[in-house]
Amino acid sequence: MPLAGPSGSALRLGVNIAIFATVAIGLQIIWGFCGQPSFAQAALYGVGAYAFAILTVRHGVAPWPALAGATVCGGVAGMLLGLPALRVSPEQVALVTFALGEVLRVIEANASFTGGSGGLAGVAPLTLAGRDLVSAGDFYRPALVLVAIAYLVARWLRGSAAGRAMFAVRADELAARTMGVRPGALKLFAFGLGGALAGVAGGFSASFSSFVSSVSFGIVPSFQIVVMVLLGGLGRIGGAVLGAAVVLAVDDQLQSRPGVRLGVTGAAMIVVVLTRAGSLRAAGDLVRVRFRRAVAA
Amino acid sequence: MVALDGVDLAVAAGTCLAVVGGNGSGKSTLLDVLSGLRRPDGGTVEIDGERPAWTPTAFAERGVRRSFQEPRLVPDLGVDDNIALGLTGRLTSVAGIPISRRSYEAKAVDRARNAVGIDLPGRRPAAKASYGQRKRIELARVLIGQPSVALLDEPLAGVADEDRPRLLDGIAALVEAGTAVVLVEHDQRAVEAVATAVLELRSAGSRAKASTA
Repeated sequence: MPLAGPSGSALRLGVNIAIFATVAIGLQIIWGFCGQPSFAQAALYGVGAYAFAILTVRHGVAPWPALAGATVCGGVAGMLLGLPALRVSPEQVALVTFALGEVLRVIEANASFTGGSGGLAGVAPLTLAGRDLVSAGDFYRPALVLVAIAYLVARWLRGSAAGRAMFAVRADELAARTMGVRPGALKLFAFGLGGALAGVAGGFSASFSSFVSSVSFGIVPSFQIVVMVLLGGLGRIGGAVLGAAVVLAVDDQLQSRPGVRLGVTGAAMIVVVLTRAGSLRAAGDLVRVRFRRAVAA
Repeated sequence: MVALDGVDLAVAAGTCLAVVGGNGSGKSTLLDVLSGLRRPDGGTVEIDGERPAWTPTAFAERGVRRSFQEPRLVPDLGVDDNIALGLTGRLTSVAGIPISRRSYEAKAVDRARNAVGIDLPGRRPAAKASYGQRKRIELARVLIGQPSVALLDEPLAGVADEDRPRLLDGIAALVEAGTAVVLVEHDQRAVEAVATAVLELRSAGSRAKASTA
């Protein structure tokens, strides 16, 4: 992704894509692997951001330990959000996580320890070799390392016995149980791991923008993350990265027109949810088939 | 409606009980009960003298594995991953999360593939396998788990004639290894080849009794 003579805004977009790709890979584990359609991924991203901000601003914790703290907080919050999934169907998981995500956001927007609606400013920058990371140029490489780690974690899981069992739960939970798979344990693990990835990305992002506000973790980013995952194709790790790039690149073009931007997010959400051909790969297959038919005719 | 009434069966380790009967006689329902998927209104199931709770997980923990009439594979996973899923209950686990043992898994998958003659690429998604291949993948998934009880729902359905001997060998090997096999199968020759006793369900609600011991 290194661009020829990248401008500040292009680098900024690149860093944001890497951050959201990490969050989306987390949701890919929860939804694409384990079949739990969570709408709370943005809220977990927020938990990581606030954890990092509170630890560094209020408690003077050094940035790297604070990032570890944000990861743990995201993971624990993820597991707590995942608890209802042990008792209800996937459709209900969507509703419950959506509601719990909103509850978290309302708390973030109003509690005193989060700085209320004013948010928290002066969040510590990350440091590398004794130097503060300040600009998008400084953050670019660490952001690539972040998304690479997320990608490798998901790849490792995908090839492991636990990952296989998650796919089995998503496909057919009863059949999975006849093989000795324990869906409850796997769902909590998926929510914990997905939440930890959202948490680390949140902490990273808080440090990058040096400011956190509950506005960043509301319904719009929540839907955007879902669109990233569905656009990339459920269960496809690279798809989540591609989805993040497409959604944020389009979003970036629409910054100056907020009304259109919301409309596009909403329309994209409807299209990817309602059509099975919502993923880029499926769309590619469709075009290829049409093309072959056209050539054959 | 009563699906199974007064059906009494005992299957000893290392034997094969064939369950035969027309459509709707309750064969698949019987397998659902024996695998903990369905809790009957009355009656009991004992495995090694103990009654597991009526959940598929509890039955699986007792070493019960099954195949389905319509294969229930994971479409997104490759052929080998689908077979390896059958190992899940046999792996060490931490808080319910199974831990992989790569070399052990690879060898076990190879053996199971050979036992039923699967020659598909291991990474091909199960969704792209034909019906007969999916039946075989499911049988391999049962074999790999070295079950104490194997419930096979029409394992030969949709399998080409030339492939049948191989599958029958696979089932026979299972019996030889000491597994108690319950085989639902329409193919008369197959039943004669591997079964040590036959349970006939005539119609829904009819009484039947069989034992291999």
